[in-house]
Amino acid sequence: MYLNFNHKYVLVTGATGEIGRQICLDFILEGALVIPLYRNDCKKEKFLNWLKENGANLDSVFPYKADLTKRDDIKSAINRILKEHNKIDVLVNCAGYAVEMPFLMLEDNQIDDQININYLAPMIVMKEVLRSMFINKGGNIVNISSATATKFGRGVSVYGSAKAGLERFTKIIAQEVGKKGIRVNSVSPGVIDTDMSQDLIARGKNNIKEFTALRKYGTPIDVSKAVLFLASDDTAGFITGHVLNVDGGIFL
Amino acid sequence: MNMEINEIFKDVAEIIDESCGIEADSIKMEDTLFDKLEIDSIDMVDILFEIETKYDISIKVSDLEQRTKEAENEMPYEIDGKITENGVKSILKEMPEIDLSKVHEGMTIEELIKLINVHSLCKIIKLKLDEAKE
Repeated sequence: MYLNFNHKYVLVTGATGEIGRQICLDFILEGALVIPLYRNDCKKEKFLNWLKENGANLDSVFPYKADLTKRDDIKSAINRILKEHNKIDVLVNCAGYAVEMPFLMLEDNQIDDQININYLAPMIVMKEVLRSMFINKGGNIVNISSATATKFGRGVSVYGSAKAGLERFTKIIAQEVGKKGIRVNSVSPGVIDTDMSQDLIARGKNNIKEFTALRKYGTPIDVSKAVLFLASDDTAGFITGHVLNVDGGIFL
Repeated sequence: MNMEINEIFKDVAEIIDESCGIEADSIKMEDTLFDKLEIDSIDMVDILFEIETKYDISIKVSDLEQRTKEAENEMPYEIDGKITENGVKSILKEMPEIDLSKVHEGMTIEELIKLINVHSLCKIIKLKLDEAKE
């Protein structure tokens, strides 16, 4: 199916992570111009090499550096992007940060960073980007949530509740901006086979698979395909405020 | 009303047309934004974004009634969201373009905002443009 992303500008936060880079790659392969936000220069180089190795034309990639724990940094990066590229057609809030341990063992900065990156940063990014989408009379936003927003909360109190907040925020903003032709949705991944999930997978042994209807872990590609589906007006033009579970049926 | 306000009015009417689908030709200076034109809050955001982009100024809904507060900063303008006697005096002086017959002591800020009309919006744009020049 034709997704119609040719010449569309797609901003992706958390682009250098395994899910973020897959999302960037798939958008590029569909003809989009991708603006990845990254924080770490070493990760940026690795990310660009990975994109190239996987067939991406780097002329379609316009990376910008921003620390998502700093409001001014986010605003300044998005202002620069809008000055240089004029518009953002699609925003994917993919940055995530989880510290998995009992709530009472978390340090204050670990609480702050998890709230800032998983909950506050998407709000700040959306506020800046929505302005441009209003001016351009349309746009699409996809927020990456987590299965822990609604289930499996032990050890992920702050991460899970921040993602739950993000899901609710997604629905409310979808209501507010719908009449301006802007759609806002979430993708909620279950257990995805990435570096970030290896501890969880190791601890769960085969239990997680047994709880999952499809008896397997997801891949970054599974998440990415769902994001592209929701971000395209040709495939999801009448879908907004939706949370799409990409979890192999772990909730069933 | 001088020429500059008229020019601003022409732009504002076009912006309202584009954002809300209300024909520019049918919009009058005295039309209230929220009651007569029935502009909702999201359309208002859209209109303000368009105005900011067109004129390169920063403007908020609160700017529309902020000036009356500034004019009477020695005395309370409102208490618990209700306009005081001093507030009424300030509104009569600073916002002559609105329907003053509806302004009274004890009215709420929300009721005041409903009296704000297209002329008020044009005035605040002119003030912001003049400030930017200085």
